[in-house]
Amino acid sequence: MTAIESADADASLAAVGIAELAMADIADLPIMEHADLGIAVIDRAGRVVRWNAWLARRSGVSAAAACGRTLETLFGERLGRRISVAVRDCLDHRRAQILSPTLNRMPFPLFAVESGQGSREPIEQNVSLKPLGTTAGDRFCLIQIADVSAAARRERFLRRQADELAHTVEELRLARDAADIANVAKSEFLASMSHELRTPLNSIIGFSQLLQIDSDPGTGADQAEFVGHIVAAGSHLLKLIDDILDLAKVEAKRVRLSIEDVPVAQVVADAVVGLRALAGQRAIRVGFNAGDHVALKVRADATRLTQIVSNFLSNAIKYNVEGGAVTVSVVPLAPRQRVRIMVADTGRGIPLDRQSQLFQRFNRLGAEFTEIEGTGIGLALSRQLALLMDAVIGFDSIPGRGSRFWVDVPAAAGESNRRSGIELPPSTQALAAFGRFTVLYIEDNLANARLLSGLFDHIPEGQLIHARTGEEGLALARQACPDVILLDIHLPTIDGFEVLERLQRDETSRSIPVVAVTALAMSADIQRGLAAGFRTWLSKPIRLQGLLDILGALLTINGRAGGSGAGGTPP
Amino acid sequence: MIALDPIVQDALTEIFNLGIGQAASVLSSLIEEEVALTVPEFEIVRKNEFLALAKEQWQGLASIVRQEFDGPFSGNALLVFPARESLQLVRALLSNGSTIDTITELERDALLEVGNIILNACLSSIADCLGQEIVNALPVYIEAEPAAIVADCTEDPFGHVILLRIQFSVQKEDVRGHILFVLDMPAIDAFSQAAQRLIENYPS
Repeated sequence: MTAIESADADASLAAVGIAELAMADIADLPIMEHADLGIAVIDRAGRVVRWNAWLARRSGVSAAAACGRTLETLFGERLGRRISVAVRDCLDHRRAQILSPTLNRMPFPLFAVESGQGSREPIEQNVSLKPLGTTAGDRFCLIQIADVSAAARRERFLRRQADELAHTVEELRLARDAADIANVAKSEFLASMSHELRTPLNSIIGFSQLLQIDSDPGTGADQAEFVGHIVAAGSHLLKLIDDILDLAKVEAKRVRLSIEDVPVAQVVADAVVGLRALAGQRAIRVGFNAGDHVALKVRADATRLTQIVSNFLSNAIKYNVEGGAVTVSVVPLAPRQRVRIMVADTGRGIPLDRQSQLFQRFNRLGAEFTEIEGTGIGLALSRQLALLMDAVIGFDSIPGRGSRFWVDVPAAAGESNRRSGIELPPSTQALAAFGRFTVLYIEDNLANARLLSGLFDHIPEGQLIHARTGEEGLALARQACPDVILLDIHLPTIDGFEVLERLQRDETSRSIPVVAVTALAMSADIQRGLAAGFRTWLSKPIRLQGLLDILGALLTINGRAGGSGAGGTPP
Repeated sequence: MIALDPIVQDALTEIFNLGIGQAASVLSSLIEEEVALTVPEFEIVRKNEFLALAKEQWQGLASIVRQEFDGPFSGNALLVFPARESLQLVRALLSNGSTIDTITELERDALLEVGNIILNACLSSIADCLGQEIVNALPVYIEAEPAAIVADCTEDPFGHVILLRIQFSVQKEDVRGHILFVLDMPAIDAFSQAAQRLIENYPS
């Protein structure tokens, strides 16, 4: 016997001691009268022979009045339909039965006593009938009635709550669907609207750039400054539109990425080159610390990854202290097969209480009250883009000391330590070394043509010829044999793709590199263009540096080696 | 499976249908809706056969109403519905259009009463035909795997299960379930003998 068992045995022995003393008395106790349950006993003839106090109080029929009478004479029509049949079945066939509260409304006319005399608050009942007695001898039916009103009320309440909840959930679902539709519509509107905005901006930025370059020494310093403001404001507006366009496209799920093996060093170099001017203005040193990992490759969309790193860099420069430092580092995260590209700054840092709002759209964490330009879209967009590439963005920041932002990008499969050279765009002066060359620009918009010819005024070696339609362009290409063709995609009658195809079919123009010029700076269009045979693309508004870079690259490839000086217009 | 004399099989099918028809009319008047109940077929299988079958086909929890009975033969009567069907049935019977995805206390009480009515009607019908009395205890409601409950009903390895397939039609809902009579060896003998006597006295 275990300790617990022996303890139990002692306890029960003690109980038996008390029980023996009281045994005789208990048999005489009116237990039925004290039960918290309705109890009645019906005899073979259907007459009440027992009727307890609980039942008497709730039915308003005393035991004296009940005994000797049938339930039917006691209650008449008020007795539930099934109870008579069930009692008869129990007496005749000795079958136990149950009457549940939901299927039987008021088997007995009973009312709550708690709500005072004369209460009309019906009691919900769970009734069970049990046969008593032997097969041969006397037979009785024991009726037990439990008050389940509280449980029934609770359940009705719960059901009502559940129904309301289901209704609310349905309403919320409909509202969310409507909001989703509205959001897609908004994104689509933004995408098309942004595109429309770019066209007039092309002219504003382009011509003010020309004004800057052409500025007559006699022009007042004020005017030069005004033009500077126009260019800066225009560029800012263009950046804003580009970001909104991107974000709208991500949200409308219209972004297509081309994931390929991308050298990290190239991404960083592209991002750094784009922001060199901004860093220069604020005297901020930008360092690249890749150590042995300079040749690492990642699986990503090169353009989008550059965009993310540029965003980190631009923030690191903008929110830095004057003369501060920015360091870009590359670290492989071996266990996770990822590569971390991290941008650290020595800036003001991000206050702890605002860090959670960092990736919210248009939330500039208070910087909107400073002179620092920004849109508050960059990080939100970067995070969305990263997600599309299965990359993860993270950050940490110590207020007053600086911030670090990183993106963990999946590593390219079979990543080797092979070193790859970083191609940097040629400098502005490099073009002079190519000697004379001719560029054909096929463009229907005269403002754009005028802008480009303005840019060419600053490239003395370059000769620009212009065609307004595809047909005219094809004829000129055959006649003049240009070194490079710049081709607008959206042309009347035959579009840029068609022109390209015809150029490629023609023996004389087949080898001329063709550059797509488009306001649709979307990666899908670019991909389509490159697949069709364009060497590269130039997005509007055309910037002088971008044009020089591309011309330099194409002329190099075409064997117009810099420094020969012997070149001239080709035969 | 135990093969019965085709005449016995027919007679018993009729008895079960009589009983269940009775139950249907009680239910119809209770909920004031047409309730149709049929026993398309039944079979008698050995307990172990049943347990093997249940393990294969009746996995998962079922709603079970269990009633012990005693008389010329004694045993357990079970009404078994897969959990989802029992919910479907009780909601059709109570037409409460509830959205709660589990059975509530009051619904369980209702299901218990429905099981009590059906099982009583079947036992009644059998008792009437045999001219003997079958007494039953109050039903209990259980959520369990049918095999576990059947195993619990009899320890007799030679026990048998009378397996009735039943079909409910209420409020355009069709719900399928089973009635099981779990009998130990002496009980199934008594049952077979009673059934045989029934045929001998059957007016041909």
